[in-house]
Amino acid sequence: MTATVTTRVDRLEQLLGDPWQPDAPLTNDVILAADERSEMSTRGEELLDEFGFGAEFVPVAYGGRLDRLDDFLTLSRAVWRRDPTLGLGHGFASFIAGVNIWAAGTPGQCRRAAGLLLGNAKLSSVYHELEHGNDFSRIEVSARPHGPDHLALHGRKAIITNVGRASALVVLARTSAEPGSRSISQILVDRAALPADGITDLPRYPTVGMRGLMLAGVDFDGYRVPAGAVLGEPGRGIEVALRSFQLTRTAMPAMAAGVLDTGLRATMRFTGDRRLYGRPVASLPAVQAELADAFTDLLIVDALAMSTARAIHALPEETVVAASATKFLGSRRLLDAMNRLSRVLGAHFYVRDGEYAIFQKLLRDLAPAGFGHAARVACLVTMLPQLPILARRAWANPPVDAPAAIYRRGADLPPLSFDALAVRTKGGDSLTGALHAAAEATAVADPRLHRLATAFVAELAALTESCATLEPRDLGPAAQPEALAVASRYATVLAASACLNVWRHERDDPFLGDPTWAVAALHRLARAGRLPVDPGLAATCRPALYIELAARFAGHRTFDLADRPLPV
Amino acid sequence: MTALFPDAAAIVSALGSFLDPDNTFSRTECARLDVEEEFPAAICRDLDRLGLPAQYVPVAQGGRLHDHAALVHVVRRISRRDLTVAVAHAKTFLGAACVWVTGSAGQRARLAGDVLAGVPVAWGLTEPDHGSDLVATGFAAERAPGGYRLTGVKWPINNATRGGLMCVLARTGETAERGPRALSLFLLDKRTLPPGTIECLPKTPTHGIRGADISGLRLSGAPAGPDALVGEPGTGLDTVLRALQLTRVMCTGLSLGAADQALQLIHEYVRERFLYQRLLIEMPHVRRTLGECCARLLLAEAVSMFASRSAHTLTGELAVTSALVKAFVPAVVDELISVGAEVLGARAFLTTVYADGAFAKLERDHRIVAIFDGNMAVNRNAVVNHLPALARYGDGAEFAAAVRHAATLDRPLPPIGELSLRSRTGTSVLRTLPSAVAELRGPARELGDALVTVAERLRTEAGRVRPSVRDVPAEAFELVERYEWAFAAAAAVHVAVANRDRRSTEPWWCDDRWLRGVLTLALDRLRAPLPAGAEQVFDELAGTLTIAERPSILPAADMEGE
Amino acid sequence: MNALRTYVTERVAYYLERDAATIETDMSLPDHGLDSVLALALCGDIEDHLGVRLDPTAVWDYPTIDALLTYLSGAVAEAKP
Repeated sequence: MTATVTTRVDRLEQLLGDPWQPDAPLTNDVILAADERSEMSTRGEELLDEFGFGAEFVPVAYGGRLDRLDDFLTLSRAVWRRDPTLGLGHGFASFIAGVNIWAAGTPGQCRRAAGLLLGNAKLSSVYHELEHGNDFSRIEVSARPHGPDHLALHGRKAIITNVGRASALVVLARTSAEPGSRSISQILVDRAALPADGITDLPRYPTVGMRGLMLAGVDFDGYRVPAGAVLGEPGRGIEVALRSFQLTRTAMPAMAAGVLDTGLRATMRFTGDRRLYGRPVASLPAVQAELADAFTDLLIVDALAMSTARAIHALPEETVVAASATKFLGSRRLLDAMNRLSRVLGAHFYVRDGEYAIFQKLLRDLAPAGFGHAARVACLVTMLPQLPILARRAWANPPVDAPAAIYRRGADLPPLSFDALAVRTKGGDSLTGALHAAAEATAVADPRLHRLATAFVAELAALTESCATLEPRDLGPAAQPEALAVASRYATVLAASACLNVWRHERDDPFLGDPTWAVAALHRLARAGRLPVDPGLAATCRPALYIELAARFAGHRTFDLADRPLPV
Repeated sequence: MTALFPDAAAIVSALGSFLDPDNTFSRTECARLDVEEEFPAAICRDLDRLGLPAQYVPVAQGGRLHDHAALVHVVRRISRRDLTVAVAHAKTFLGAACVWVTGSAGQRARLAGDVLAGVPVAWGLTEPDHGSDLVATGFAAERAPGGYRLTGVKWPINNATRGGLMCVLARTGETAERGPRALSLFLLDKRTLPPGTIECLPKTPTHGIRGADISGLRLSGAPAGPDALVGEPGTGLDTVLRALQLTRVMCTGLSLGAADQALQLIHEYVRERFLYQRLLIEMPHVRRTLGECCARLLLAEAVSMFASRSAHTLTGELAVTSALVKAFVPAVVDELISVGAEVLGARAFLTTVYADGAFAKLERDHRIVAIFDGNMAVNRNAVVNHLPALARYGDGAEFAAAVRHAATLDRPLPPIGELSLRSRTGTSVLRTLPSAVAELRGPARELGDALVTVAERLRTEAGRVRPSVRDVPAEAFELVERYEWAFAAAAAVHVAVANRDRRSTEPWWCDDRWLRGVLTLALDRLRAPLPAGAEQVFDELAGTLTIAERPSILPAADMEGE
Repeated sequence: MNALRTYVTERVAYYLERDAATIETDMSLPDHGLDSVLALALCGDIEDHLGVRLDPTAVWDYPTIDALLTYLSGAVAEAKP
C-alpha cells in the first residue's frame, strides 16, 4: 500500500469504526437490521458519502482519487469487510460502469461521469439480460438510429444493480443487426439529464444474500439518447468490456477477501468465548487447524488478486488471462473457507441474532463473488483459447521474470493505462515466468518450499504439454471437462507463483519473508491441484500460522497481506 | 419392482401435487412460510391426518415403525418437498426415541398415545453455554417430595414451544459431581406443569428452516413425578447415546430428500436453459457436473439405506455406523448443493426468478442437518475414539451374513436388538469388503479392487491414531473423513452385489452403472489412481437421467407419487 | 491381578497423556480428565485384552482403577466356566 492511500484507509476505518463496538458509527447490528429489512444501510451510505467514496472511482485526471488499482481495492475491502452489500451497492457497481467510461469515453463523457460520481451520484452498468447470462454476444437490447441525432433503445435488461437509482447508465446494446462482436456497443445514458419517455423501471428482485441490494430490471421502449452517447467507436462494445473486465474480475475476489477477514474474526471471537470439554474451543487442535487453513486461504487470494491488480499497471499486455484466473480461483477459495468456518461455529452460525450473527449474513452475501459479474466457468472459457498461445510463446521458452513491484506492497508502479490493456493475450506471461526465478530462490531458503516450488514448475511443464493436445472444439463453451481442467490447473499455478513471489520480494517482512506461510499456501494449492506432495506438510505450518492469526486478532489487525491496524 | 416402502408412497401421493399452489403443501406456500418465518402448521396437521406420526411409533406400541430404513425413507420423501416441514414434523421421533429405547411399558404406551394423536414431542439436550458437550449439562433435577424439581434452560430446541412433551437431559447428581452418572432423563408433559414453573423462550431467528419452531424452555422448580424419569437415575447419558444412534441415521433421510430436490432443480434448469446457442445440458462440462451430482446422491442413498437396515442386523456396530453416516451424508449433500448452486448461478440467489427460490431455500435449510443431533466434529470425534479398535479386527467372515442381509434391500428385517455404546466388532462393512468385491466383474471389479487397496491403507493408518477428545490432531479428523468415504463406498459395493441380479434391467442398475459412478467418485476423493477414462461414467449417469429422472437405487415405485 | 493392574494403569495413563507413575489407583478418573467417551474406549481395550465382554459403561460405574479392578475380577471369574 502506498503512503497516500494509507491516510485515506485510516480515515475511512476511523469514520466507520469497529463494527463490534456498540457505540461505533456503523455497527454489525445496524448492518444486520438493514439486511433484515432488505434495505441498503442508510447509515452506511451516509458515512461513505461523507467520506466521498465516489471520488475513489474517478481517475485523478478527472478530479478524483483513483490512482492505483491495489489502493482502490484496499479501500474497498475495508467496506466489504463490514458489509458486502454496501460494497457492491454503494460503490462497486459504479466502479464497473466508470471503468468502461474511462476506457472508451470522450473527455466530455468522462468529465460528466466524474462530476456525477464526485457528487456522490451513482452509475450503473446495464449489461445483463435474463436469457443470455454471460453470453454477451447474444444480447438483444438494441440501439438504432432515430432521426439524424438520436438513437432509440428497445428491449429489456434484468438483474441490474442500482439501475433504478443511478444517474447515468452504461448500456450494452446491439447497434447493428449483423451477427458477431462488431455489432455491439456501450452507450452512456445520462439518465438524470434525459426525458423519461420510453424507459420503465421494473420491480426489484428479492435475493437470498445481499438482500439490501437495489437489484432490478429496466425496460426500454423507444428510449431516445443522443447519437453521441456511444462510448468509443460503434461496434467496439465487447472490446471495451474485455479490457475493463480485467479490472473488475480482479477486483471481485480482492474486495470479497474482506468477507473472509470478518468471517475469521467472528470465528476467532467464538472460539475464544466458548468452552467445550472444559476448555476454550480455541485450544482444540482441529479448530486451530481450520482457522490456520482459512487464514492461509485469505493470504493466497490476496497474493493472487493484488499481484494481478499491480500487473494491470506494470504488465497491462499480460493480464487478460490472469484476471479471469483470479476471479475463478479467488472466489471459490473464499466461499470454501467460509463454509468450513461455518462448521466451527456450528449452531452459532445458524442463528440470525446475537454475537456472531454477522457470519451468516456474510456467508449469504459472498455468493455473488462466485457467479456475479462473470460465472467462474465463464472465466475458464475466457482463459482456455488463450492458454495454447501462452504455452507456445511463454511457458515453452526461457522464463521472463516479472517486476518486483508486482509483489511488493507499496512499491512504485507505472500509471494505469486502459489503452495498453490487451483484449487477447499476446503471449507474454511473466506472472508464471516469475515462478522459475522464485523456485530458484527457494533452494537455499527452505527445503520444504523448494520441493513445493519444484512441483509447480513441473506442473507448468505438464500444462505446456496438455495445451498442445487441446483440440479446437475444446477452446469454446462446449469444451470437454478435461480441457476446462487445464485452465483451472493454470489458475492454481498462477496463485502458487503469486504466493512464492510475495515471499521472495517481501523478505524483509518478519512474517511474509519467512517461508512458513508460503509453504502452507503452496501446500494447500498443491493438494487442491492434486500435485504429488507430502500430505503431512500442513501439520508443520499450521501452528505458526495460528499463532500469527491469534496475535493479529488480539492486536486488532487485518488478516490479509497488508496486516493493517483496525479501529479499536 | 413393487415399492419397498408403501406407507411413504401412500402418504406422499395423498398430499397432492407440490407444484399446485392451491394445495396446502405446495412449493409456493412453503416459500411464503419461509419469507414470513411462519410455522407450517396447516401442513403438519395434514401430515398428522395422513398418518405420518404412526411412522414414529414402534409396531409394539400400536404404530407402524418396524423398519428403520422405512423411517429414513419417509423423512426423505417429506424433505424432498420441504426440509422445514420435515424438520418440524420428524422432530417428534427424536423426542420420543429415548423412551422407545429405555422407557417403561407405561411410559411407552402413554407416549405412543400422544404421538399418534399428533402431539409434537421435543428433545431437550442442548443448553445455551454448552451445546455439544452433554456431560457439561447444567439443567438441574433436585430430589423433592414425590419426585424431582427441575430448574434450568434448554436452548436452542426444535419444537420447544409447540411441543406438548419434552424429553430432557438433567443433572440429578451433586452439582459438583462430574462424570456421566450424574445425568438422568425426564419426559416432561409441558401441558400439566403448574404456571410459573415453565416459560417458553422466544423463537430464535435462524439462517434456514426459518419457519421452524427453534426456541427454548426455562423451568423454575417444575415438578416431575417418579413416572417422568426415563430409565434409572444416572443412566441419562447412556440412553441419549443409544437413541442418538437411531436419530443420527434418521437425519440422513433429511439430506437425501434435500439432494433429491436439489438434483431435480438442477436437472430441470440445465435441460431448459439455452446459452451459447445450445442447451446447457448439451455442454460437456455441465453433463459431467450433473453426473457427479447423481453419483453423490446415489452414494449418500446407498450408505444411508445400508446403515438404516444394518441397525437391525449389525446393531452392535451402530455406535460407529451412525457417527460415520451422520458426518458423511450431510457433508456430501452440502457439496452437491454447493456445486448445483454454481450451475444455477443467479437462479440460486434470486428468490423469484426460478422455482419460487426453492434452491436458495434448500441450501439454507440443509445446512442445519450437519449441525443438529450432533455436529460433524462430535461425530468425527466418536469415530476417532473407535479408530484404533477398527484397525484391530480381522476379516469379519462371521458377520458376512449380517452384512449381506442388511444389503439385500427387499429382505425383511428382524427387530432392532440391544444398542451398544461401542462397536466391539469394528465396521464389518469394511472388513468383509474383499469378499464382496470378489463378486464384481468387469470395470466395476477394477474399481472395487482399488477400493480394497485404499481401505487396507486406511486401516493401517487408523491403528496409529491415539484416542482423545481434547487434543485430537486435525490429521485424525481428516483420516476419519477418508474413512467415511471408504465406508460409504464399501456399503455401496455390498448393496450392489446383493441386489444387482434382480435389478440389472433397471436404468440405474444396468451395467453396474450407479456403482461405477459412486466408486469413481469415492476413489477420486480418496486420491486413488483411477483407470483411464473412468470419469466418463458421470456422463453415462447424466444420460441416464433422460430415461429415469430420479436417480435412486430403490425401485422406481418408491420415488414416484409427487 | 498385578499384571492387570499394571495394564489398566498404563491404559489410563495413555488416555490421560500422563506418566503411569503419576496415576493413583484410587483417584477419580472423570475428575482427572477421563472423558465419558474415552471411558468407552478404555473399556473396549480392556475387553480385547482380557477376551471378555464387559458392560461398555463399566468405567462410568467404577470410576477409579481400584473399583474397576474389583469389578473386573468378578467379570473375569464369571466368564470362566
